[in-house]
This record gives sequence, structure tokens and C-alpha cells, in this order.
Amino acid sequence: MIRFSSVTKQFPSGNVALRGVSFAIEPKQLVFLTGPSGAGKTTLIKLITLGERASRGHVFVNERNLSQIRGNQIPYYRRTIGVVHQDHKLLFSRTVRDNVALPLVVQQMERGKIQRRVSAALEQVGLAQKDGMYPINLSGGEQQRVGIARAIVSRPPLIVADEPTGNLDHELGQSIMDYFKRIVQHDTTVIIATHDRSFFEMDHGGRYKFRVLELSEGVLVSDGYGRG
Amino acid sequence: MSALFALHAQAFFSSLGRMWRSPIPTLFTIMAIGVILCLPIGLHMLTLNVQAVATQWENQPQLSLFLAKNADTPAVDSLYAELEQDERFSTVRLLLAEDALEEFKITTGLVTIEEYVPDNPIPNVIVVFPAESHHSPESMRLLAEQLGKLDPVETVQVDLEWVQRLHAFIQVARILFALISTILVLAAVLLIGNTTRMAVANRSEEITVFDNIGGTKAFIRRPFIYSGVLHGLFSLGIAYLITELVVTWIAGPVNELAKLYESNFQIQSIPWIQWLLFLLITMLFSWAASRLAVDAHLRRLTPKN
Repeated sequence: MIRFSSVTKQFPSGNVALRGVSFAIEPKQLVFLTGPSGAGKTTLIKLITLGERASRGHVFVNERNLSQIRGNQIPYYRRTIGVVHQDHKLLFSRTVRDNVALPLVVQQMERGKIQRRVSAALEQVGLAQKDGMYPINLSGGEQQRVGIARAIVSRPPLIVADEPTGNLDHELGQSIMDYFKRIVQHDTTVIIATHDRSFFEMDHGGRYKFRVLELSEGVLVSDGYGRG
Repeated sequence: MSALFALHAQAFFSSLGRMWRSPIPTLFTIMAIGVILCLPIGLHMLTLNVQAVATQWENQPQLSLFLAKNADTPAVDSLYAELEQDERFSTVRLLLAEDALEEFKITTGLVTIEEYVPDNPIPNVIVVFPAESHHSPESMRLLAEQLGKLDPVETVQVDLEWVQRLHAFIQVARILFALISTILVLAAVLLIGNTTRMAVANRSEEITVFDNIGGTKAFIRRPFIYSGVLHGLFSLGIAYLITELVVTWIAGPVNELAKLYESNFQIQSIPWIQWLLFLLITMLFSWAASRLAVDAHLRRLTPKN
């Protein structure tokens, strides 16, 4: 599904965010990407979503070498990934339903199909009753669930989330994590970048198997599994 | 195809809706661009009218052939008949010396002039009005040269300077107007570009969201380009209204002035075909200005190594 091969990312300022990182993620895995602030988590997520390109080494997603994807092909590649942001990145001038529909609108999907898919996605995150509301009238946790609904609505094989619980209290954060665990059941690979180790540190022996990749100063320092 | 049409329709109506929802800023912007646009359009209209006036004046050029004093009547009649047949002239008039003297006596009141000047000093004169195809200064000079060689023509009088001056003036005015118009059109283009740039800056988060979820550059660009083109078109509408109002306002006084100069000149409005051309040019320039402004922002979203 995803393969990093000796990937280094150096910014024009000279700052090296990732140093020779190599790993492979199989399909339908739930992966936590962790490490302290500045470890390179966000850069790694951006390399997967082609928000940045690797300075050295190669990133493969579904056997596609991302360095070979040309600029005008990037939007089509991004349609295969659902992205959840820490700050939700919702459009406050549009309703919940319209926000969730955006990925399908850019794909020029037929209107009726969009409505059905959006309803299903909102149902999945428990916001079916609030589809006509504007994000400003929702709580932080609900806004993040709208972000998740938008990420899953096009049914992508890969979902990446960058600090999805960063602005939420632990209880809300745990419920958001539960949504991601459920998503993995739908044949989807989920990568979650988080600095909060409490979501995976304790092996609860639950039904969800997950993997933890730990970064420190741009280097992959550990790779392990757990159950939650 | 229908999906693409739907996307265009959606972008068009969403741009129109945004303009409608913020009427005051929109109105100020299109008024500003409209006023800027009406200046080059007004200059163009002025050029059209100056040319029309010049054409009317140029209908008047004439050559006066002063015949030799000793020319006999058959020679004068023969030359007059010859010139009347000549297709280069629209009108030919013969002013006999006796008639000219009588007219002189009436207009000056010197009825006893013949007592002091027994021989009529005024020669026979043939006045020729060249056809329109021979109105240029060069043609007039050539005609004067050819007519001067005819017998019994003694002198040919032609006032070429004013024709030359008029042509030179029109030429200078045309260049000056073109320069001023270019600068003003550039100002309008920059204003549209800047309006789009500000719209892009206000909606940069929205652009980032669309970029993240796989919106192509064309998809992101489309509403901004429609907005820029709509601003341009509405501004042209304002320029049209102002220009037509000015024409209506000054038509009466201009006609009165023309009558004082015994002219039937009437102020001309810009023909609709030229308005259509302005419409196309405005659309093209607005499109280009908006596209440049959006692309400058979109380039920043392109990932680098």
C-alpha cells in the first residue's frame, strides 16, 4: 500500500525534516505515527498526500512512485486519499452537508449519487440530523466528525489524519479514534499522526490491531504493534 | 459534457451570487472600472466624430482657376465644357468677370468704381470641386499642377495647408488617444486583476481545502475567472451608460453649434458592432487578468522537492 524507501526531506531553509526513513504499510492497517513536536510526522503525512515531495529516496503509494506524478495529475491522486486535519479545514460558509459533499463535487459525481453518499457518511459519524447546520454552530468534536465524514465520503482506500484530536479533550479524542478504528473495518488503511501516546500506549487487548511508527528528529526510531 | 456544463453553470451562478451578496463593494468596484473604461471609449467616440467633421470639411475643398485676361469667350467656354466632362470633379462653376464685378459693386457699395477703373480688373474664374476620391492633400496638389498647365489658365489657387493641418491633427490626436486609451485599459485590467487577487486572498482557506481534496486548478480557478469577467462586463455596461448619457446630453448643443457653421453635422454614437468588439475585448482582458491573479496564488500550492 505505502512504501517509504530511504526518504529524506530537506526544506529550502536547510532544515532536514526526515532522514532516510524506510517502512512499508500493508492495506487495511491502522497505523499511529507518533513522536514529539518537530519529529517529522506532518512532513511524512504531506509526502503521502503530495503536499511536499521527497528530496531524496522514493515514496510509493499503491505501487505508484509519487516522484513520477506530474503537477497536473496531483489532484487526481489526492482524490484517492481522505485527509483529516487538526483544524478540520471546513468551509464555514457552507452547511455540513455541502462540506461533506465537496470531494464528490470536485469529482463531478452525479447529484443524486452525491446526496446518497453524503447521507451515508454523515450517518456513519452520527451527524445525519445536523446536515443542514453550519459548522460554526457545531462543537469541536462534531466539526472533527464532519471532517472525518468528508474524508470517507469518496470511499478512498487510504485515510490520513494529522493530529485529528489535537484540539479536543481526551474523551472526545477517544471517541474520534473509535471512528477511525471502525473505518479500518471498511477495507481502508488509516494513518494517524498524533503526539498523544495515550491512544495506543496501553495494549488493551481489544479487537483492533494497530501499528505504531515512532519518529524522532526525522528518524524512524521504533516500529511495533498493539491491540486496542 | 453535461457535468462540465453543470460545473461552469455552478461557477457562474456562485460568482454572480457572491457579487449580489456584497452589493456595495461590487458596485464601487464596477463603477470605478466603468469610469476608467468610459474614458478610452469616449476618446474613441471623439475620434469618430472628429473624423466625421473632417470628412464634412473635406467635402468643401475647391480649386480656383484664374483665367488669362485676354482669353476669349470660346476658349473659356471650351475649358469649362472640358472640365464639366472630367469625372475627377463633382462640380464645376464658371464665374464671369462681369458677374464678379457686379457682385463686388453690390457687396462693397462701390457702384461708381468703373469711373475710376475703366477696365474690369477681375478675370474670369472657373471654380472646380474635386470628387471625394481626390480630397487628399497629395491629390489636390496634383490636380492644381495639371490644371495650371491648361490654356487659358493663368493661376490656380488652392488652399492645401488647412487640409494638411487637419490631417496632421487627426493623426496626432489618433496616436495620443491610442496611447491614453492603452494606459486606461491597462489600469482597468490591473483593477480587475487586483479585485480577483483580493478575492483569492479572502478565500485562500477555501482554495486550500479544494486543493487538498483533489480539486484541479481549472476547478479552483473557474469561479474567480467568472467573477473577473462579470466585473469586466458590468463595468463595460456602466461605461456604455455613461457614454450614451453624454451623447444624449451634448447632442443638442453640438447640433446648434453645427447649424451656426451652416453644417448638418450630428454627433455620432459608437456603432453597435464596435460595442460588440469592446465586449469581446473586455471579456478577453478580464479573463486574462483574473487568470494571472489566481495562477499566482495556485503556484504557491505546487509541491516542491
